[in-house]
Amino acid sequence: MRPNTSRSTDLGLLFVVLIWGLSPSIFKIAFTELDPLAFVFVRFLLLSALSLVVLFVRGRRGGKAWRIARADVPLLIVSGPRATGSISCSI
Amino acid sequence: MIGLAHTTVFASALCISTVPIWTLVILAVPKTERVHPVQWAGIALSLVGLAGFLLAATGRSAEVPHIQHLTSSDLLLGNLLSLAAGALFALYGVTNKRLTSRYSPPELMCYTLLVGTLSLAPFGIPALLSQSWQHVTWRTLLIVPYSVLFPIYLTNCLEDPRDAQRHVVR
Repeated sequence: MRPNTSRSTDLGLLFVVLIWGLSPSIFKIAFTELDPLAFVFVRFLLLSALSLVVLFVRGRRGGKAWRIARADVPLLIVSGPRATGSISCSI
Repeated sequence: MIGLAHTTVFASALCISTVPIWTLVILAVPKTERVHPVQWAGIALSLVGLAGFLLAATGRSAEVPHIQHLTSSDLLLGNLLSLAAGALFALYGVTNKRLTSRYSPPELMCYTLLVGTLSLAPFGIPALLSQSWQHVTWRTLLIVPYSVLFPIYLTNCLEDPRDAQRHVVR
């Protein structure tokens, strides 16, 4: 017998797959009116703002936030454009 | 987005789904992960299938009803960009493995997004300034917050990257 947490995880992952499957078709509609680069940039500006708010609230509640090890800085700098670039290139 | 804008939704989705293949190749080159010859054969077979599909689709232009007409050069560019997106995403997953063990998903998302958005700024700001906003309808404006909340933020919170990285080549 599998625990209930597995079922909720599976449902969550199913939701993820559904959203990721639907999104490109929805974005394609937006491209009829918006330049893809403008769309990407607005999207990532809003996403960055949201991430900052979430991390700020998390930090205020005593959670781990803004404690970046100096050794990790180069990897984060390399990962950032790679993630955003690949996401924005296509998805 | 640029890749998707130049090809069909299905071709773009197919190209991006090559992430596990690129991941395995990236891990196999420095011998981080051992790849069995049968697994290499499977990878080759999947790439042949993908190439066959893309070549057949690129050979003729595609009509997307009510949206846009895509020429064969559009399709080629879109497919190549989507493949590049898949490869970059695989590279991102492999290099981020070390970081995911030390940072929580919200932290990692915030740090990489801030750096990524800054690197997009030189291209994004001119595009934003030259965009004709008076022709943008409410439907499209609603797609923007949807694109932030659902496909990235919510789904990344649901799909814990630390768990995903453990099964990166599964």
